[in-house]
Amino acid sequence: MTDFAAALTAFASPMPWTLALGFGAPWMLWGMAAGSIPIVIHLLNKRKFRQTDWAAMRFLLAAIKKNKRRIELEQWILLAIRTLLILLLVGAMARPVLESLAPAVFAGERSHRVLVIDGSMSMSRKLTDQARFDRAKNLARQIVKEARRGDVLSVILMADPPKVIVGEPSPNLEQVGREIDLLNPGHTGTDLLATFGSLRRVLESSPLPNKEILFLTDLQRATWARPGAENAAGLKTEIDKLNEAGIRPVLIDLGAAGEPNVAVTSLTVESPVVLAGVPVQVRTQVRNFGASPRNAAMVRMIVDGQLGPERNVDLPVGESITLDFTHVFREPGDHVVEIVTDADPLTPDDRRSLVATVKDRIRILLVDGDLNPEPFAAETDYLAQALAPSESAQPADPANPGASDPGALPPIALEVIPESRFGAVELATYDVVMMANVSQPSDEEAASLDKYVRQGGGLVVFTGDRTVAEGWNSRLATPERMLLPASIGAAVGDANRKTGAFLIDPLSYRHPLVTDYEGAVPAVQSGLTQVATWQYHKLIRPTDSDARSALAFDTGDPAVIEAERGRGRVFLVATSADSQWSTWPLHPSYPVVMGEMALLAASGRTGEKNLTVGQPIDQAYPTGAGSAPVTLRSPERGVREMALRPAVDGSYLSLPPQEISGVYEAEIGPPVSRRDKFAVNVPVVESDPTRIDPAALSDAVPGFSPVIIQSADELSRAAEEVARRGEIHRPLLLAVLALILLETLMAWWMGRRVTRVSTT
Amino acid sequence: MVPPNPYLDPQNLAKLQGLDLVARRAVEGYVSGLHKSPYHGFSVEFAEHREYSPGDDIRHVDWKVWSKTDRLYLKLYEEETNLLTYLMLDTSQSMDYASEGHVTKLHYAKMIAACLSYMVLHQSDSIGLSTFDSRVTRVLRPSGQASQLNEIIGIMDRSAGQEKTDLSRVFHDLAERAKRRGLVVVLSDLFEDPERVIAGLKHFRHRRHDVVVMHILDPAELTFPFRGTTEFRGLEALGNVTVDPLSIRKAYQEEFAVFVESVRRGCRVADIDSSRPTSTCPRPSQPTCVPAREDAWSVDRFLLRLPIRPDRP
Repeated sequence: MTDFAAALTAFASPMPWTLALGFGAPWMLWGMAAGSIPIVIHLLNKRKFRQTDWAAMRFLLAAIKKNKRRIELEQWILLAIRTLLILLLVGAMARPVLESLAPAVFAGERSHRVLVIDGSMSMSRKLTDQARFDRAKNLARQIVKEARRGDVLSVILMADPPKVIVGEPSPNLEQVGREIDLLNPGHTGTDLLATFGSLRRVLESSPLPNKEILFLTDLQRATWARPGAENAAGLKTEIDKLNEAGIRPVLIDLGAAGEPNVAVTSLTVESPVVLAGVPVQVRTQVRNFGASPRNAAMVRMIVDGQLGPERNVDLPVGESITLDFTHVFREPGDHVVEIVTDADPLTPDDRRSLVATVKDRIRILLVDGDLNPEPFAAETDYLAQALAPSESAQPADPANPGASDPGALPPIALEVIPESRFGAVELATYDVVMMANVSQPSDEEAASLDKYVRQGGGLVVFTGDRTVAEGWNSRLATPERMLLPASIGAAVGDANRKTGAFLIDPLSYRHPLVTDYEGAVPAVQSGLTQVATWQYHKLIRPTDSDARSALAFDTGDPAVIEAERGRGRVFLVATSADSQWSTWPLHPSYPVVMGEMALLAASGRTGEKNLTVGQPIDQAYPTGAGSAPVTLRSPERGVREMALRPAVDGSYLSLPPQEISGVYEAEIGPPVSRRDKFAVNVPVVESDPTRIDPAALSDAVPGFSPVIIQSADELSRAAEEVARRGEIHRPLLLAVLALILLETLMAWWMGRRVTRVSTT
Repeated sequence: MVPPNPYLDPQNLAKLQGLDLVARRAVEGYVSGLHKSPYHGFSVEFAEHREYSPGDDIRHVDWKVWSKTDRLYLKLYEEETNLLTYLMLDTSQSMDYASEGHVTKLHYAKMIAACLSYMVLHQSDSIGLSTFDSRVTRVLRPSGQASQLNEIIGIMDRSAGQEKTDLSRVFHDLAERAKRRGLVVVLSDLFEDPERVIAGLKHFRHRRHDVVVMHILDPAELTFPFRGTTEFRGLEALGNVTVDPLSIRKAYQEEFAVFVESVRRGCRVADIDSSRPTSTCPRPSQPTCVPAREDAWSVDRFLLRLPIRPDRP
């Protein structure tokens, strides 16, 4: 407590003193009327007296005459002492609070107190009787309740992003208490930098010179030791400002070391696109974050609310176990896959959800820049054959795409159009657009391609002899509109001579496009690596581009470059889709890689359905959707009615960042008439109960060295102490004691000053 | 046989046995050994006639008067003794004060007077009594007769505290009256200006009397023991005053101490014996008063302070 007291003293700023009194029990002040008692007694005494005859009157009269002034003065002093004594006693009982006096003595100026309550997921942990967050709330309420009159309070909830609950410093303690009552822990992590930013703004909003900050947190490592390099500098600046202002925060540590926790840390579908009727692998990871092993932990899959297979796993300390479940989705649409493990004190991470958007098939538009009716003479013939072997490279019947049984339909629906028709196509109806040897897009086509990709569409561009590099680069690879992963450069090699073939470098099979080949037998790998390419366009990646090379040529030039653009994904292939420039279509790797490429390109349409708390839900709908009504079912708030937000390039379902994990279901009314689901999961880092060593706090957060209060006793004492600062009833009672002594002494002195008249 | 009397307690009297009152200086007149006389030969002076009553010594019958009037008169002589004692008793109103649980100063003074009278008469000396307040009220000439004690007590019985004091005038008056040198015993609280009191007493010394001042005070007048607001009603028409005794105690005691000290010093300068008995004799529940033995100012102790020779040879 000594540290705490020192900290309290440190809060006081060297401001000019202004005196203001508050009272803890103001009704006691009525007792001040008792201060008149000595006066009344004095007056009554004057009226009520004994009588006695007296012979030695002349001496008495002489004494009175000589001492009249002194006697009166003494009587007044005695009367004043007695009255003051009663007033001080009553005053002490009214529990006065000195708002501002010598700070070194009382440390009790009126202050602006900011409560920063950790609202991260780890605070949801259930303790013996209540959740840790409830404990923090109780403590906060106690601090608010015992705040002195004249104090103002603010409340900030640490989260990602932080929430300023009471920003404007409020003197209304009841209102602040109610706001604290309404607080609920979210499932987010914390954004320390933003929290300190909010803290600074809140502190700046109050003119009171005396400021106090109280953190109520479990000191989880994930919260305090994760600022990241890019945030560290900003955080240091914020904390330096606090330190410059002479504010030393108090941190009330609500956490405990060695707490158990088992969490589902990952849940994925091992396929970029989930197709109805096609078995998919659901992969999950369960991790034991606790300090003791967990045996026979139950892990169960639930699909669309129906219990699925269940496994029991032994979880050593700190280990992750990966489990694979296989599932076949029969119906297209959004399906919810959940993995649940045994409940432990921290429940939000015992369940992880995934929304799998199951498609009946992937719709691919092949735009052929060199359409030729002869078999395998057109640019896209090999491609069509590779993607949909059962379908010939015939133009699909767009009027009746799903007339027969969906299960019997091939998973990929292809439509081949010549370059000339491209401008008239509604791109949004396709999952992927593949353009092979297209000379160049027009301005309108480029714009519609850009919009299509950014809304989640997939684009694959093959170059070829007809490709006009300048046409592509000027429209889709400019700094203003960087849709292509790279700009198309000059052609390398000569396909006509077919000499000096370039081989493919798989770049260690790192890209998902070719991960299936990793570890495969050399004969299989050679199906990819032995592809001979005679001519290709040199692809030039802009500096600081986030595009990734999936494959390269043995010259080092990229062969396939991939980049995410908006919600969609773009692949740029340096060579042709047919066998004109390369032998790839003739190799067995061609259908595999092309299929994977189509799936990956199409995955942009489903990626945004799975979110982490703190991320906004932002789903795009075609322009025709307008302000379609939406019924949203959320895990914590029940059903809400809302509408799509129409914009120039389509309609959007935009929801602010979600704080609670679970499945959100949006039912979009006509004209869209669709049901979308969104899985919001907790951040994995919050599952780790590892605490930061209080001593290491100032290392993790440079410059931050709060006074840390740890034990429960210390906690309540601290809360009392925090609230009790500035109380002066003790000094008053001491003054009363001193006055009692003074009164006794004075009365004794006045009575005892007897000159012993000698009797001898 | 000593009659029961409020002023003469048998125990007090018993204590007086064996004590003699002596004059410090030479006394006038003939004394059969006890006092040294400045005169030689007898000096018996006729005083008055008194009617004969049975039992009287017929030697003192004045036959000349019998022959003229045919009635028997005794011829009384002023007996010339070796010691004349003049008791001067202040009976002013201030002497009538008694604090709670004590006898009045007047009563105490009377007790002392009675004891002295007894003792003086017992040693065949003469004693007289004068009472006064603002003036001399009664005068009993000194006599050595046995009946003198009763006379003295009778006068004292009839004297009640009243009137104001005017000691100076009274002392001058009394000094003029006491023509023969003797021992003057003043019993008074002397509540007057000490200088005037001493001036009056000096008059006695001027007349060559031995003077003993019994400065009689009540214990409360010394200690001022009152508590709580009190209205003091002044005796001798000095008005009333209401005061918190605690607040004034010290100042009062200082004033009083100055007064007592002035008297004491004045007496010493004027070669006057002074003593300050306080009337600590408890208020008698019985007709007699028994001063507490341990009491510093009991009558007997006071008497011991007188010029008394305890072991008469």
